[in-house]
Amino acid sequence: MISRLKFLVVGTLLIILSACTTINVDHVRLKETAALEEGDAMVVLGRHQTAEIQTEASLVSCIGGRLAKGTGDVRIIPEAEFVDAFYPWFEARTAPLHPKKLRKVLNQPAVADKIKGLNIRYFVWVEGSTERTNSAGSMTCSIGPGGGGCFGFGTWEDTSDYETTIWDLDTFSEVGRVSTEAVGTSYMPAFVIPLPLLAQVEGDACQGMGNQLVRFFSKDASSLKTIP
Amino acid sequence: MLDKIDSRRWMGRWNSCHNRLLVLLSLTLVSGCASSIVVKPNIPSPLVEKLPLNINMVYSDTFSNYVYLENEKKRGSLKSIDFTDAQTSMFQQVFSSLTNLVEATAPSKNLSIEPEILDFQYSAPSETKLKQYEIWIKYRLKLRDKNDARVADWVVKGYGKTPTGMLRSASSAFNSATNVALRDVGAQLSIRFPRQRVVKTLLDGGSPPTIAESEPEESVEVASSDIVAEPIDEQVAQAPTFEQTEVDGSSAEAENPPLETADKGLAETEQEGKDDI
Repeated sequence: MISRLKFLVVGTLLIILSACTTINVDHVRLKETAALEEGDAMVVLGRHQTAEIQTEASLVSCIGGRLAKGTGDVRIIPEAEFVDAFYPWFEARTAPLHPKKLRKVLNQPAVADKIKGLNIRYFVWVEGSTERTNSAGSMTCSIGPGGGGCFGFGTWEDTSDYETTIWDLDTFSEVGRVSTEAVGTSYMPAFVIPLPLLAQVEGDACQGMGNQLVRFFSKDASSLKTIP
Repeated sequence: MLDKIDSRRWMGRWNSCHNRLLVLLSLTLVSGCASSIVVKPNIPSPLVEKLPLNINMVYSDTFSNYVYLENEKKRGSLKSIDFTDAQTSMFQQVFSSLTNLVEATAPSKNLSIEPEILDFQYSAPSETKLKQYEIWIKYRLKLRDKNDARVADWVVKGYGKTPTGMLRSASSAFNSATNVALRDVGAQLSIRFPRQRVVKTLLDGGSPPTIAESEPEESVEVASSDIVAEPIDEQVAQAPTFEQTEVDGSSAEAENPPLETADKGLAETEQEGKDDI
């Protein structure tokens, strides 16, 4: 009973003390409807074309997961599986940067047949990254035969900046764009044991963008499906 | 008395546990230092149209036994990297998808291709502002016709990067970055090979003109902006030279610049290859 109580107290404290994230999500709809039919597939891909641009695979996968949950009839093809299956056309430096270039890739009969076979209707490109923008504080840790521990306080700020672009393969055009900026501050006080209070900036950015994308593809655009 | 014995046993266990923890911690710290890596191949088969050409792949002993050894004492993240299997696997995958691979003595042989490593470079996160491992590989492909006369030399450059991550070792990151760089080389070859003049001539039933041993090599390179759009000759005209890319920043070189400190050799060779594609 006492251990349960302790667990509850610690859990409640963690929730109260947990770090916060501020998110801004903007979306531009370039086409009135983004129709999805049963059996349609979609692929979510990250941009990696330069040394600086390295969209995290975890974020791409997270957005794919949220889209799969939110748009029940649509099949989301995992990024790695798609890129391997269509090698060499969607590698970091060969992936088309515009829908017109995608049309030219699809002039390759083998590529077009495979896209048709998989029933891919939309491409969702994700570009951006999460970076540490500020940090302060210090912490000292030591370990010896008698034991170990840490003492100090650290804080840091992470900023996510992502933009997703949606291409329709029926018209070879861009049909929408969702951009997200999320800023979160994490704290780590340490008195013997470090207690990390982490802001899930990338996860929150994924949630914001994922929800907006689900709304984009929903038949009733005004109804936003919120995925817990 | 029993209590004393129990407490000594307990203290003994506690110390042994601590010693194990210290050994484990030391091993973890040591494992973060220089490592010798053997790259496992991970190159998929290209989704390309097979050309009616018979090609023999030639791998020299130097190529087959190439191991990059780091001699710079200041660069502590890598001791050696062996990607022999991975690169051979890449060339085999690419050319077996693009053409029919034949033996050297096959009478139907149209071309022989011999890859050669010109340069290999890397950077670790501790050396750059980027939190990623990067690899640059530069190959020369020597092309000879059925009479063993030299018909072309192509230079192909690959770039690969892998972000750092929690619980990701330098070894697995270098392995992954090397595979990405090899995939990049394979992608350029897969897309550009059918557009080369030598290949076009062979496909048209002609014989490609031979070149002198001293002639400079051509570069088979790719920029994401012009990968699929233009025919090869237009790309030759449009492709900026290395000097131009520094100004307008529009090509693959500008997007993936080599390390300024470590890549002098690459830059010099690129300036020689004016016949970029």
